Amino acid sequence: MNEQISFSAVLGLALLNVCASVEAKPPTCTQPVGRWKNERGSVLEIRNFDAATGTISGRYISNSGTTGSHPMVGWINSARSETSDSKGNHAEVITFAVHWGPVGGVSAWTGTCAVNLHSGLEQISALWHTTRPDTGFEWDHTLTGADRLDPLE
Amino acid sequence: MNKQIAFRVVLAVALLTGCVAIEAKPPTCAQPLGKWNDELKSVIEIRTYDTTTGAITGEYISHTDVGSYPMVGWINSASAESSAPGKAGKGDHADVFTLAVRWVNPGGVTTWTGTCAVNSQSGLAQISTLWHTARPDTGHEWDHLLTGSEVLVPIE
Repeated sequence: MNEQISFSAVLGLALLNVCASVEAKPPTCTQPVGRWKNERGSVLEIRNFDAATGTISGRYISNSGTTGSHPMVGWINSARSETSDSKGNHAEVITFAVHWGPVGGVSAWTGTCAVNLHSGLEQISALWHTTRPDTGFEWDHTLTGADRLDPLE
Repeated sequence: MNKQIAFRVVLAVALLTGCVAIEAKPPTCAQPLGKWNDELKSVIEIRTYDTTTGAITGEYISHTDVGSYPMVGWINSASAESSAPGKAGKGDHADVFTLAVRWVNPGGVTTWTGTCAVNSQSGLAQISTLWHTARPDTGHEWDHLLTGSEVLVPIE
């Protein structure tokens, strides 16, 4: 009886380790589900990716300006153009939009996912716009910038 | 009997006219469901809007290739909890929008981000946006992303 229990416990732990190692695999451009970190320590967590439609959803955990996690939706599109030139450059393209909730505002990132030639790792390079509902003037609602997101191991 | 039928026909026509009138009402910043024209005369149709979460969905109906493409996004009109510089009642408030569309052949994705407010000249709502487009296939590594600005206006 005791042997059975300890065997079950060992089997359970082994399975748990296998699951943990599967989950710990860093995301890639073609398998983007997982966590991506930007230069300021904020984390984009892609929880769902529908390869048929290109839909992604998840959350954005901010480490700058605001705290907490915020809902994210977006698209990935890797389709090659029918008229693409084989000598040209291909990249996976991604867009994701975040709703900042009671903090106010929305942000959208648009960019490419490709291997960084220096690090050899895949990264998302994106330009973003953030629009805030309350600002000092009519002309300063929208901010812009660039972000690089690396897969979180 | 004939009177009853005639009454029902009149009632049905009256209801139908009412429905058409409701549907024909152009969208606004606060009631964004409906069709918006971009500057290329394409149509962005916001079909669903969840006021609790701010989520919107719909489609982009292209004027140039007569295709339609799925759209997701957010609206957020919440006043900021933290005070923005110069706020203190004297600042500027706007409803903010972001829309994201996935293109097919040629592939790519586009996001529009901006504010919705009433145009003081036309008296109609308009969404003033900046956009980014990322294209998967280009001639070089450095020309995947395009940017620009666009104003979306409600279709009457």
